[in-house]
Amino acid sequence: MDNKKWYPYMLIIPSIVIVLIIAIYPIVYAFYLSLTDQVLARPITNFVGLRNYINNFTDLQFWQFMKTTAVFVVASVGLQFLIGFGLALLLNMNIRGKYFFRVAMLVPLLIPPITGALMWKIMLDPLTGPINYLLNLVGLPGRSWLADSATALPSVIAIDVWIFTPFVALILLAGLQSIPQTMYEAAAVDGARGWKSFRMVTLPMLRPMIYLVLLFRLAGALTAADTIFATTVGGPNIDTTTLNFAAFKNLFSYGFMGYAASLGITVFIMIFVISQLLISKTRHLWKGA
Amino acid sequence: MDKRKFLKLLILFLVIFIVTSFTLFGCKKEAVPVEEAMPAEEEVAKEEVVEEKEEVAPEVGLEEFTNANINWQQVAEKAPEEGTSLYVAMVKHPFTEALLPLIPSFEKLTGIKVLYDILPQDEYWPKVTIDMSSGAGLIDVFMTGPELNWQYIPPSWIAPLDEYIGNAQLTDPEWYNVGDFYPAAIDANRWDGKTLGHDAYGKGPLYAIPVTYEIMSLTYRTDLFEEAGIVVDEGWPHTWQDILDAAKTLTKDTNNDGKIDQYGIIARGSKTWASMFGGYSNIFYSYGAEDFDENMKSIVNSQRGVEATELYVELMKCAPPGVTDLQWFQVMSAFASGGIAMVIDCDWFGAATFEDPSVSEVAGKLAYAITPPGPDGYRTQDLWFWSLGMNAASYNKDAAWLFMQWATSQPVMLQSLLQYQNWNPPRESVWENPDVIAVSEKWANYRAVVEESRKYTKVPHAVNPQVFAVIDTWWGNVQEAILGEATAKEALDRSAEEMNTIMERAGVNK
Repeated sequence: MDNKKWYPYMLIIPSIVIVLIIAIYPIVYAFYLSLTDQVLARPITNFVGLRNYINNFTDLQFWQFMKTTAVFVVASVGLQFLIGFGLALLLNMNIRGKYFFRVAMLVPLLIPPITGALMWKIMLDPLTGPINYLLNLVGLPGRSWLADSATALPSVIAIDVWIFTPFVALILLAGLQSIPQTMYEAAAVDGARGWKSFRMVTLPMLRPMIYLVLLFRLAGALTAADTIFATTVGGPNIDTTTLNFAAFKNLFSYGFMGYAASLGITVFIMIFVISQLLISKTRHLWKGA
Repeated sequence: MDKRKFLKLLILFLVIFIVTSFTLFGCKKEAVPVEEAMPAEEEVAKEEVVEEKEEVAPEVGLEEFTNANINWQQVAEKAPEEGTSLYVAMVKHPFTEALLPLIPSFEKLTGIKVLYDILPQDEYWPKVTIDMSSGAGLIDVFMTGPELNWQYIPPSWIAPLDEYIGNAQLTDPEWYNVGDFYPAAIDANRWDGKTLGHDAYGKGPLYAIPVTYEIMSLTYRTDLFEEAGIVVDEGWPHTWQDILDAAKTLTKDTNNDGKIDQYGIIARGSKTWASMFGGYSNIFYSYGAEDFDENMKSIVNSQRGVEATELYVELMKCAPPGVTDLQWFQVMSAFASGGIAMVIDCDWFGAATFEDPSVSEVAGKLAYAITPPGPDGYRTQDLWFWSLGMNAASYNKDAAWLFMQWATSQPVMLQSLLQYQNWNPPRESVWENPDVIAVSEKWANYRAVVEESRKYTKVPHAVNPQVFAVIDTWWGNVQEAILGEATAKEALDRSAEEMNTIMERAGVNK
């Protein structure tokens, strides 16, 4: 009798153990680290409580990182979402060669993000890159896209959008395809067409997919480090350094473990809040079995 | 079973097979077998190397090493059944390229197997840091340098080498001859691990053996100078203004199409401490400015510091666009393709690349110079020594030392220079070797400049384990000045603030 009661728990214990080790323990350890002043090159470590966080609050550089992160996340996810949604709508229509376009659109997704970023770095090279060459051909001036403060962040955002828009488009396309045609027909009977049908049928039915995509992309943009590393390494100065990249640099290049952990936990809290918000909106769909 | 099930199982099996084979074979590389690796076409007359007592074959023959008074096989003899193997982590560099084909002969000499990884700089450092900080001891030998050692020494990640050099079983002092290394090269890798500040290095245990001696000097195009009518007299450049004037004159539109296509200078600029090697550390410290005072408080925004930075910013206006993104190899290849009149960077770019007509458009059109003094007469030239260090957590320290001794020995260093352009040698006997003299004498005044530079070279930054964090942030602000988004004074004021914040964070100045 007892055997049967414990059975389901025993089945999921392996997965829980793995998640604990891989996901929960590092976060707990990172939180602990953020409460110390550990510096790799220094043998002694002191427990300092919330001092790192308090210092961050008054640190101009920290707020600069926050601002860069906000701009990066909003612009990048916003553009990915808009363009991706548009692409998904287009590819949902019955046009000739739609299968070809659907596959072609996937290409940026198939290469590892860092490869894509490196490719763009080469293309955006001011003296030898094709982008400036093409611009010059039509008479427009070339620029040092990744080296100039005014264009560095927009360029990195553009590269991120290029890499991840297909992801958004793909998921939304799948969602669009799953909306039964009968819904549109019913709406048409009631006199809804075009924009109205989009608002009343498409959007509500796509809501879970939209939240899913937003969740993935927001978390992805907040933790984007490989794109930045491959293109500008956070530069010029700190113009493209997001909070997470600052944590990465401080951890791996300088060894400021406590400080980097405090930055990382800040990002974690931001993602946690956002994901809770988004998940709660779709809770009604997941309740029960 | 039915066909579909069988097909599914087959595909599953294939996928698992492919994935496992990639994982198993994708990791550490082993030394290439002897037959493929030994370069057969060497013209260099190794037989004429008069200094050597032995007859030297085209490869570095084993006799070179067996005449040393130690038993190279000692580690292998004491080793367990599986044998000893070493894991060497290296940065992509001519020295590394020189070492690879010779590794099989090391394996034959000592019976120690060598596994290695070569990584580009940016990936290399995190990897080494992670291994050392975790105490895993997987890496035995790695490449390091003076400023890098300052991070590794306080937490005892890197092993002091004096005991290995002094151990008569492991090292033949006459054959290996530590005295053959230039004192500056050895001193730069010494530090007591505690004293901070300027010139705090040079005392204390030795932690790494140098394999290069790189000096930041000026390289310039004599043909472009002549064409522009710039007179280069004895002792040019006398002041930094001379360089600036020349750069301004030489930045022009040569084919009258309305766009500037010739630039006076090029320099590194990407956001890393290493960009200071592109001339900024030379000018800043020659102006008498310092990064830190005796109390480790940042004083980069001193009067002289601001003046030096202003001149450097002016100089960068004569550089191609996008200079704040360039790394050293981009600078090297850009200068080698022509269209740029000057570069202040590693002198060996000339030796290894610029003067080689097969890879450079500017071979034979160059001259070299030490960088000028500042207004108060100080002259400082920055320098770098790639060096080999030993992981303090290594399980094979004796084997690691044998490898390091072998790799930094006279025969290997000579071979790495003559065959693979590993300049400049940190060993005096290699620099004064007739073949080396013959090759380097052909390059205008290269030898004279290298020898004279030795009077002015020093590691200019204050010894400080946080050297990377502070210099990164200092350089980031200088980048803003270069881009015209801040004045030199504003940039340096902010640098000083940020550098002090970092030192506080590191617990140095509360």
